[in-house]
Amino acid sequence: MATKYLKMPNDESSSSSSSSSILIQVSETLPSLESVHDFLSSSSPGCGAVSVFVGITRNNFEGKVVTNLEYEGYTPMAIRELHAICCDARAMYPGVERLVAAHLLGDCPVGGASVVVGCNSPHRKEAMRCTEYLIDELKARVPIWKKEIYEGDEGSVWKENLEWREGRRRRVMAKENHV
Amino acid sequence: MAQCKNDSPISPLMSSTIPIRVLFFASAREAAGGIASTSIEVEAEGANTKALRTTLAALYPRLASLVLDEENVTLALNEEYVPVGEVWTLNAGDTVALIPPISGG
Repeated sequence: MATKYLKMPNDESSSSSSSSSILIQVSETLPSLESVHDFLSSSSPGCGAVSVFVGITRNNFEGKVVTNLEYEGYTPMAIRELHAICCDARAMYPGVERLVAAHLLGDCPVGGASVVVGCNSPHRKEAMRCTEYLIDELKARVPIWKKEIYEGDEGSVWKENLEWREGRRRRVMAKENHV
Repeated sequence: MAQCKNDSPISPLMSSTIPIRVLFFASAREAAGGIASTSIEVEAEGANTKALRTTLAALYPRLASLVLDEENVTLALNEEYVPVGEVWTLNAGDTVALIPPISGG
């Protein structure tokens, strides 16, 4: 199976059970849905819910036809941020036991999956809310970029997540409130 | 900042530099001519993220408007975002990444 269990770089202390319950992957392949489900449903007999979000690429933007997509990432920092997001999520949703956050890099076919996040928990609401938190935070702070290439002579564009601007503003406000 | 006295035995001409690794991503990489990373020497005295933006703007003119604009390019120092409005000190061997607005997902 292509799924990899990636630990935090430079963090040898994370080889404990806490990191084996978090699956992070940033690479040119995504883990299969089956392997994500297996990971989220294993070793958690008290959990009655598995929630997974899969993001797939759209074929159009403002009337232009998207023919190709490319993802570029700052891989070690992306892994670090995804790990931090998973840790934050577990603090916010304490019933959650296992988490997945994976993002594709390189070429992505139109309609193909580019991102998968998910978790389990004893009951559905916590799992679903946590999953929403994972994708919202990923879009706000994980250093990965998407380039859309359009049909004909429409060129190409590096996209920009609204969540990124909002996230930056939130971080500044949190800082100011803290001071 | 303290003024250097003329009678100082160590001349301010002996300015030293420190190496900084710089990573370019997405639109910033393209504006820098397609290079993904480089190593540059910056003045040790007053080495910080703001001064680095100015240095990079001079080295890569096509990148200038992006890198000088904090709204366009965020810096990450050793894989940690430098918050808007802050200036962080740089030390020898630091890695600074130019982070244009992200679009993962």
